[in-house]
Formats: sequence, structure tokens, C-alpha cells
Amino acid sequence: MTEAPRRRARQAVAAAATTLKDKTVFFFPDSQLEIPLARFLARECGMIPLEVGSPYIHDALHGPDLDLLPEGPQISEGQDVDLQLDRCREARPDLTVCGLGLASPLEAEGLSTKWAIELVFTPVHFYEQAGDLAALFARPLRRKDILEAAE
Amino acid sequence: MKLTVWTYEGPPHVGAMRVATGMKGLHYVLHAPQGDTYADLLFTMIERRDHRPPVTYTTFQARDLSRDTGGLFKQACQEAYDRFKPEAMIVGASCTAELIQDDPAGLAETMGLPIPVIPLELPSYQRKENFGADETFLQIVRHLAKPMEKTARVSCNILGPTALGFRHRDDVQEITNLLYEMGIEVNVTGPMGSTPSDIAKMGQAHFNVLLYPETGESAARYCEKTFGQPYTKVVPIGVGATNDFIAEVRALSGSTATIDMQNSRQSWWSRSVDSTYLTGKRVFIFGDGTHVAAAARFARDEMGFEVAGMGCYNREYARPIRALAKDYGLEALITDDYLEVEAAIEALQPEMILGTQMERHIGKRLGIPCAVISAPVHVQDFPARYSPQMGFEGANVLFDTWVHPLVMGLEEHLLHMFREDFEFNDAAGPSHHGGHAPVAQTGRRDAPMSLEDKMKPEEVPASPGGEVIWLADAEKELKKIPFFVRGKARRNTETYATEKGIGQISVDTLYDAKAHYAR
Repeated sequence: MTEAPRRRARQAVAAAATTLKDKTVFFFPDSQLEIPLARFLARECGMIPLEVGSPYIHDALHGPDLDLLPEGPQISEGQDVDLQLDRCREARPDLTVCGLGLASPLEAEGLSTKWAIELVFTPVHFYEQAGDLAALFARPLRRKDILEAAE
Repeated sequence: MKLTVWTYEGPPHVGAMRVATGMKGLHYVLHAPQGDTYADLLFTMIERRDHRPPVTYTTFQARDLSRDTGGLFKQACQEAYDRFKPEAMIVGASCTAELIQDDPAGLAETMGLPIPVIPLELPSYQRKENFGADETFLQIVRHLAKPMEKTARVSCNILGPTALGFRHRDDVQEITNLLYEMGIEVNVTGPMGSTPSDIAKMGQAHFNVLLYPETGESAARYCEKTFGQPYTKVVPIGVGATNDFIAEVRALSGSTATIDMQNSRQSWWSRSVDSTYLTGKRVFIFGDGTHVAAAARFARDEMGFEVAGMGCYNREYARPIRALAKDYGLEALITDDYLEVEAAIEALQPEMILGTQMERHIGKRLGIPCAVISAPVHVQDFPARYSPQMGFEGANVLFDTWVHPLVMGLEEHLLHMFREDFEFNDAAGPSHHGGHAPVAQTGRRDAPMSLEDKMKPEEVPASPGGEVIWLADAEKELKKIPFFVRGKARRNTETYATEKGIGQISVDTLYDAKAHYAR
């Protein structure tokens, strides 16, 4: 029964994954969706999570997703935003997922960002939305490519 | 306590943030829980600022409350000083943190930091954002500005601009240029654009130009008393007010320089024939007191509109706006409840609203065009282009901005003439708005329904309890009236019918009412 939607989802995700593959991603805590998103971006889009910060990590809820994350990324809970910004600037990730308070300032520093709140407003669950979800992360990277190519 | 979804002003600590974010070299340590950090995005998202506001939040959480939140505050102060090395710091509590009574001022004082630390006492539950900005700027000036010898050449300070202000960026540029033309140097512009060491030099100026009384008047009064600096009272919005402002500045400075009026086009634009259709357009004006007063004068005297209603949300300006409204033969609406404003607009059915972002939303719901004249603002009120409200260029901008939402002069006639046409009918709206035309109808029955309207039980059109009934012919005739006056026509006709004790509105009633209200 899920075969057709799964196929469509894979096909749609693959389109965005060409942009996302092997790119690094850094999460500031905001939407509480950070851990499952990191799992999705790592396993299905080929991204490399460097840090996954979440406002609050509930073991029973996040445990299964945490188990599926690749080795490597720092998992942080709560935040000291200045220290985390130091780590982010040091890591220079290809994509930073953060709140709107940080997004424009980080863009001004040359980092591509995806504002987390959009993930709360956009339907991103289930097979038919998986492609849209991946595309949300690919868009800032594609935009940067377009604007830089025109420079 | 009243809960609301949208407010015109934030709590006073947001006003303090507007001051701090406009300045450089100043840091704000704010005792606040984690959620309050969201205030950052007002500046980075709405104003598109490319730096975070210079604010350190202590971000205490529920579990900290059983421990030493005072210690948390001192630690945040120390870390902020070490990291940002500001020239001066302001410290205070947000509305939530005020409740735990940690006394940030006293705590910071005991720390012996090697810079001025300015405590803020902002009563979060009595006052609001504009007060917060005004009070913060006053405290900064009181703590940092010292009496000084006046500059050799005549100079002034510009007071009031803050981060997140409505067109402050461009107003400051416009007025700085105007003052320069008059041979007057600007000593310090603040809070926005200044550093604490600039503020220290404010006493050098001969007088002050107060552009935004909401956020700068307390500092202006303090400087008048302490440094003998008189300040300007006219806010130069509109050609008339700009001329008055120039006269005021000449009196304060002795300047006799002539002003180049070549680029002041607004007066002629208002007199040229296409503007005839603006005559008597009924406008409703709402915003902060200063912008409302300025807009009312410009609307009536320089655009030829009729001011149908006015009011302000900041109750500090209730008295002057009430007095002003009386001069216009109106009663002012003083409220910070947008639902009251919406009800007033719906009842008045103006042809245009001059308001804030809130009124823009109200206008969208009611299908009434709106131009924004005052904070609170939206991301689109920070245009990339130069777009002041003040000075002669500001008047040009006002003309364009206020005319744009309206249907153009000849177009009114065309829409009427071709109202049965499939393409150019009145439901299509103003031609220059493309697909984003204001919703065509404002009448109750033909208005598109919002979600909440859909959830209400359907209104019975013929209510026997004294409500007037529209006969089918009259209803059809009403549709022939252009949409931008249809709401008013419906309301006037119903009022007329009620007054005359007519229970059913026929085509004759409609035209009797039209004749009755003819202007």
C-alpha cells in the first residue's frame, strides 16, 4: 500500500539531495524538530551534521531518532548562544538551521541559513511532503549559487 | 488582565532594545527567561538588520528559579562585558523577570565593572514600548552627557530615531541634509547612529531637533534644563510642517540661508488636474500620536482629503490627539485594542485608511485601501529605496504612497461606465494592483467571507425586528455603485432609512439617501 508514495517520496527527495549531498549542516536549537530533521538530512539526503542543538531533548521521544544519527555530530541541549555561535563560525557549515533572530546576521557573515520556523509552518510530514522538506533545505544553497554566479 | 493576539506596542524592555540596537558600543544585559530572546527577530527579520541586537539575556529557566537567579544575572553581565567590551552597559529586567525582583541595577552596581553601567527601571505592567525607549534614552543621556562648551559654529543634535522606527533611517538623512543646507552642523544623532562617547558630547550643541517625541522628548527636556538647549516642537512631515520647522530652526539658529525648493513636487502634484478626484476622500487616521497629528494636517490641508476619524494607540498622546480631533470636528479614538479600531473603521466606512500594520490588516479584511503612516511596522515598511516621511522629499513620498492604494482619478469613471464589462468590471479592482487588488465589496452580504464569518450562523436577511430590508431591485442597483464607495452607500442608505422609519429599501430610497447625503 505504501509502495507508490514511497517511490514518489524517494524520487522527490533525490531531486533536492543532489544539492544537499555531502554538505555540512549545523543546528541551533529552535523548533524541537532538530533531531529528526538531522536524521532525515543525514540518512536520506546525504548531508553531514556537525552539531545538532535542540532546546530540550526528551529521551523517550528523541531516543529512536538519536539512535539513527550518524557518528560524529555534537548533540547539544539548551543553549549558550554566544558559545554556540563561536562553534558555528569555527565550523563554517554549508547550511545553518536557526531561528530568525540569528538567520540574517549569519547570512551577513556569509553562512547560508534555513530558518527553523518555516519548518513549523510548512507541512513536512509523511511521504508526499518529504520532497518539499528536502527542497526547503536545498533552496538557500541554490539561491546562494544563483546570486554568487551573477556577481 | 486582557489577552490579545496583536498589540501596537511591546513591553518597555522592547523600547530599551530599540535604543540599544540603534546604538553602537552599548550593550544591554536583560534579565529575562529563555522565550524573551525571540525579541531579537523583530530587528533581524523585520528590519533586516545584519547584526544581532547587542542584548545578552540571562535566559533563566523554570529550574533556575529555585536557585540563585541573581548570580545568573551577574555572570551574564560579566560574560557580556568580557565578550563585547562595550563602552557602556544598560541593565534591566523584562516583564517576566520583573516578577522575581532580583534588582539587576543593584546587582550590576556591586560588580565594579570599569565602564558606566546604567540601570533601567521600566515598569513593565504599567507602561509600554515607546515609554521604554524614551526612558532608556533619557537615562543614557543623564548618565553620559556632560555640560560642555558649545561648538564654534552653530550645531544641533537630532533626537529620537531608534531601531525599528517607521522610516527613521531616511528621515534622519533628509533632515540632516536640510540642516546642512541651512548651515547647521549635526553634532550628535541619537539614539540611533550614536555611541556612548557621542552621547557624552551632546552638550556641545546649540539646540536640539526633536524628530520623534515618542522616543526622544524626555531627553530633549532634560537637555533643555541641563545644557540650556532649546528644542524644536514641529515635526516636519508635510510641506506646511516642513516650512514651519524651517522657520523654527531659523529662529533658534539665526540661519538665513535660502532653501532649494526645486525638488519639492508635492504641492503641484496636489494641484494638478488628476488630483481633483482626491477632493473630500474620507480617510481614517490611526497610529502613534505624532504621526497621526502630522498625517491629519497633511491629509486635510495638502491632499484635500476629509478626515473622517482619527485616533492613537499610545495613551501618552491621548490629550493632544483628543484636542486635535476636536479641531477637525471629530471625537478621537484612543485605544490599544485593534478590535475597537476595526469596529470604528467598519462603522465609518472611510475610502482610505492611514494607519499602522494593524490597520493594513483591517483594511484587507474590510476591503478598504490602506497606506501605512506609523509604527508598528512590517518587513515591507523597510524599503530598500530612499523613502523618508519628513522634509520636502518626505512630502513627495507621502503623496505617492497615499495615492497608490486608491483607484486613479479617471479610472473611477471608467470603472463606473464599464461596470458590466467582463474584464474591466468593478470587482476587478484598481488596474495597477494586479492580482492583489483590495477585495471588491465591503457590503455585508456580498463581502467574501472570512473563516470566522463562515462559522457564524447565517444572518437572516429579512429581520422583522426593525432592521431595514433591501428589496431585490435596490440591492441590484446598489451593485451599480462603484465598489470603493458601495460600503458607504449601503451604510448611508440604511442610516437614512432607519432615520425616516422606512422598513424596506427600494431603488427610490437608495437615491433619496444619495441626494440626502450629496456633498
